[in-house]
Amino acid sequence: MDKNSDLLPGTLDMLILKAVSLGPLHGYGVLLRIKQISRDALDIPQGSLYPALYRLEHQGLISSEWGESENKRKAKFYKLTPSGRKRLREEAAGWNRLVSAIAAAMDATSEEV
Amino acid sequence: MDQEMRFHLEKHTEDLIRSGMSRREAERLSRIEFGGVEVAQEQCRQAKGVQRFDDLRQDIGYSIRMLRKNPGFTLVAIITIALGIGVNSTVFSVLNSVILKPLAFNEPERIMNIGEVNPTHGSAVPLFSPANYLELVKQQKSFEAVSTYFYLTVKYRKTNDQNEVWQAFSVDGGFFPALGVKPILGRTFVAADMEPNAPPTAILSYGLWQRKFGGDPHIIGQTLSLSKQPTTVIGVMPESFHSPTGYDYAELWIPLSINNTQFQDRSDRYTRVIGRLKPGTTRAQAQNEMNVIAARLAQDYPTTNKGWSIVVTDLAEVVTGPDVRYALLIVFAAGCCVLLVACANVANLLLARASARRREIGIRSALGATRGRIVRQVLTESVILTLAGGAIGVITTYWIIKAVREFKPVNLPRVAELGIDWRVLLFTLSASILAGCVCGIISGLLSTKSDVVTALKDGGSQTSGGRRHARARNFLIVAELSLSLVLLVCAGLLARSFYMLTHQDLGFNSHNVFSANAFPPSQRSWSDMVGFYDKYIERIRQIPGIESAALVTSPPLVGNPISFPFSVKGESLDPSDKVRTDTDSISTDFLKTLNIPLKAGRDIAETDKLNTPKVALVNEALARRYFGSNEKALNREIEILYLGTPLTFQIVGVVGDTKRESLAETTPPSIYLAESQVPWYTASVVARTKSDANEYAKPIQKVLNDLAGDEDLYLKQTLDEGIMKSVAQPRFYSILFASFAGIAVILACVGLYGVISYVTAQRTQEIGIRMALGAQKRDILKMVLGQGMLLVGIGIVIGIVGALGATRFMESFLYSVGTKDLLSYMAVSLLLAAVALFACFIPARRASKADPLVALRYD
Repeated sequence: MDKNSDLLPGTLDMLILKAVSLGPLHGYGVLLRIKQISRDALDIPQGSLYPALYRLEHQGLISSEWGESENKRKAKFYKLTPSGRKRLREEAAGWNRLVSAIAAAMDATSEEV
Repeated sequence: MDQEMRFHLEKHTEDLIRSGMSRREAERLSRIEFGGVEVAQEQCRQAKGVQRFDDLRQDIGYSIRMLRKNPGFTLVAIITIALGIGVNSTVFSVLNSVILKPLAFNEPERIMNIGEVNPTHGSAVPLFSPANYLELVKQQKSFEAVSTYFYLTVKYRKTNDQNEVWQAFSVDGGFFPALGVKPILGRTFVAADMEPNAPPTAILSYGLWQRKFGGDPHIIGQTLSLSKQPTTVIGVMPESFHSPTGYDYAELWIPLSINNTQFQDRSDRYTRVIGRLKPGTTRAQAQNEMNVIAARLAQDYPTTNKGWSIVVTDLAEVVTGPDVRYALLIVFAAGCCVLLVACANVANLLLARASARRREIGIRSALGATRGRIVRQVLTESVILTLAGGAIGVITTYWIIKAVREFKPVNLPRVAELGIDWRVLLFTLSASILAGCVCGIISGLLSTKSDVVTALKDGGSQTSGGRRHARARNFLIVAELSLSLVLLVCAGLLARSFYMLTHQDLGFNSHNVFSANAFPPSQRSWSDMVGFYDKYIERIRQIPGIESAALVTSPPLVGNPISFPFSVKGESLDPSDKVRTDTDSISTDFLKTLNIPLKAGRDIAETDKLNTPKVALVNEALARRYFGSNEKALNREIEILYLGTPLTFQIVGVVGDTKRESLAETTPPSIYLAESQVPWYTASVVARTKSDANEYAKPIQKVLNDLAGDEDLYLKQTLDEGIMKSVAQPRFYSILFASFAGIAVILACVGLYGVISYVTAQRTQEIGIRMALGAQKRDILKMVLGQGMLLVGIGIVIGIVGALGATRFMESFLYSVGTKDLLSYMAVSLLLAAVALFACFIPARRASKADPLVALRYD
């Protein structure tokens, strides 16, 4: 499923959750927003987006609803559920811990060994 | 899904167009960037609910692989469940055939049993007197058919002198319409067949048709010699057609001629009556009509019918009475206990395995499996186990049911209908799945509560799974032990009760006594009958090897006693007096043959003849009840309504009490008349023999044939055999409960052994340390045993408390044993403790023999 991804496994989910947490979006909108909030650095392969969305919905972290898009067409909008919000917090905390650990490791000089 | 992706593509295309591309290029590019739409859709589908099915298939495959890898565990678990479910499904099939299945007739809910009742006369099944039945037929309007029938035997003779005796029902015209079953060959009786001078006809049962005539399709119209009359076969009934009484099995049906003398009798109520309600008539409406008819009869015939009413009951309730239902429910409850013990064992096994697989579970959790997913997998595994066990259990049930149908170890109604039908299969399936779910959920939940990280870090089998596991294991084992104890107590009480029943004073000596029933040639005057009986018993007494012989109407405990209304001369019968008085006609030497003591006065003598004053002996129970003492009864006069005629007798002797109809009841008052003064139309010979009593059947039969021509002896048996037969039911239940208890105890102790072994193995390192620090073999032994016996002790205590409550339901099955019988409780507790001790001893000994060096290094 993640064959073409440059992302670490599990981080795609986290990014989607973050994107949706800022406001309800349809699939294409999630794509754009991730691009936007990562300052254009992250480009999600479009093929893995929808399976990830469906998976997150299956796990009850996001919920979906059909609505009207800005150009008056029918689209499926996703938003964050309370358990999704909780999961986002946990993942974010874990991620930060990991990052600081690696950063500390990378800063080690030969004296500290 | 399609729409969503189309929307996505459209939006992307628009954006590209806005950035300057042509429409065609934009569409192409957006499609390329999206990747395969079908692939994405497939992946979405997987991520959704269809995942469930794939999961299930994955689970099943995984479970089967795991089970195959541990054949020992799998085998033990399957056998355990097979035992538990097998027991239950067998009991349920019996329950099903006897209670749940509707009777094998057409629209059985419309078939009623109609009978006369009188509050002062107890009777197991309400019956009719023949003359009253005729009135019923004339007056009733609620039933579209009513019928009565009699059970008898016919003698079949083939040309080459081959005799067989067949059981038959003689039935009147309403029988087959009332039951509503059509024959598979030929026809049933019509009015012409019922005429007194009609040519004899008969309808065969399916079993007889197959057994004796090989299922010959041309049997209709053939003539058989039945009871010396050429009888034409006019029909064959289907295989599923069984007796409306539930117990008596007829091999053929013959017409009942109503206009014979026995149908004049209005006072003796001995025949069953059934009826089919008219469509639209309810039982209540029929009951109302019966009340009116009964009142009319009481008015028209006050001497015989005053105080009698007519009652309409569902035939099914009469066939399977409340006693049988209650007993079967108790047995079913016991069976459920066995199943619970088996489930607890399997749950323990699964728990032990789950502990061993903590590492694997930890890895799966880390890889993303949710708790629910893991529990689902454990559940799948345990349901597969229980389904396999259940399948084996059902197969065992099939064979057991077949054996029960053949050998009829206990007298249950509708035994011929025993079989496995859809209800039994459904029950077994549900029970298996339920057991599997319970075991799986318990062990699944418990095994996934542990923290993933510690599970991964663990040496795999170092700890015994944490306190939670240990508590659950102990709880299950204690529960098993308690349930086993409850079953043991029940079995013990029943066994003791059976012992009390069979080791009491019968009031007579039954050893080496042969008995057989005979009918003298009928329709003779009393002097003819007396003459016959005199010669009969005299010839029998001359047979070498017979020490003494006598005649009696119905020998104690093996016959069916006859009773007549009796009163003390001068006093009127107290209507609230509900006690039967059994009446026998005995010859001289009866007391001597059976060693019944004479307590006062004299025995029947040769001098008592037809033309001398009529005498009677009474037993102590009667003397005490009506006269106060034995002496006071002598020379008093009593009056007996003998077949409608009042006769007066003088009491000349008082004899000791004997058991009469069953071992469990107290002796009813009995009257003994002189055969030579009041001969009955049947008599049993009782003969005390020097050697094996059964050898005397032939010579006695010969005497009968010499005197009476082609007559047969019936009910040939020794008294001891007959008594054993009469306790077949309590013996059966004793053995049944003992088996259940035995299975439960074995399962519980095997479980105990398993748990103790496992726990001890976990503690191997600890044991090594202790031994290294100076503990002796004995100390280790004591430690392990102590741990085990603590569980046993708690189990026994809880079991005793449970048994005290549960045995309340068994009171009606016990004879002279209380439900709190100390001896039984103590004995079974000691038994369980002993077996459990043995179960704990083996692993304890193994542990104490461990080499400390090896133990310390154990990982």
